[in-house]
Amino acid sequence: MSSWATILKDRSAGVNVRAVQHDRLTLSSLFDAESQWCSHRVDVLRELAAAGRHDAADWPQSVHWNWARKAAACPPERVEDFGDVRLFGIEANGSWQALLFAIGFGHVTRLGVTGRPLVYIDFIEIAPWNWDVTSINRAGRFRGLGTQLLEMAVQWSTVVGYGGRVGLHSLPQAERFYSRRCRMRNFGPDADYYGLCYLELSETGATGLLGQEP
Amino acid sequence: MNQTDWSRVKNLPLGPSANHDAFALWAVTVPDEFVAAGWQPANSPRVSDTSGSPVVASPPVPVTNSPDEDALTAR
Repeated sequence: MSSWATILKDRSAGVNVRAVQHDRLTLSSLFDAESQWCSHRVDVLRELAAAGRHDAADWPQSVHWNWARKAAACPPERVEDFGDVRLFGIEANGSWQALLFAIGFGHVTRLGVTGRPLVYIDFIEIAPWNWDVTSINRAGRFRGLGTQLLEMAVQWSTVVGYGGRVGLHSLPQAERFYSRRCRMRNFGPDADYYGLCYLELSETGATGLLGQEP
Repeated sequence: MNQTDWSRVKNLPLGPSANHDAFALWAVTVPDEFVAAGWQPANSPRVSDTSGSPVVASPPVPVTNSPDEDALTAR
């Protein structure tokens, strides 16, 4: 596993804090992360219930996710050198703040020249304490996670010769983040993938994303 | 890319991008809002759905009996 320093914004304190980006997690890290995150998923649901938000439409759409289950369902050889999976994460304050499960084989572009290989983001999520849940006026703790995770997927895509091309199927609540903030092209609902919108970042888009300046 | 070539590049250390510091300063100004992508069913998955990937029905497998089985069936 290699890692390097980065920063996140602690929103309540209004300051940037140190964090670490990891580019080759083991499956064990996913179990660790879910151990840290699961009680906070419950906290969010408890707050929603206390606020009378009983309709799941008001809930964060990944509130039921479980990274331990994803880890348990992933044969370990998939993360080895001949496998198709690479795992990324961002750590701060001794906790996993965000995770990304990417696949490097078997997915191709729909944007521009179609059929070229790309890095497909099978799962990406930030820790529950970093969620903005507007229905209960809950603000996430750290900022800067989603874009920095995507940056790692773009880097991996570049290193393996895919030119930074990245694709994913977004949960509806996240579509705006990917289309507006990350400038990914939204292809709309994918009937072959539970009706989730498919979004893709081209080589040009990847260059633009990495070239962002404050 | 063949499997050997893939294995050489697949897990290469990435390290920070050339523009990482500036990128990170920009990144912390971007509201994360909600970033989850991927599909994990809220309820029990279908039997073959363990990774969150779409379930693709397998084509029906034609039943072919061995000559011995055919002979037994004909009895």
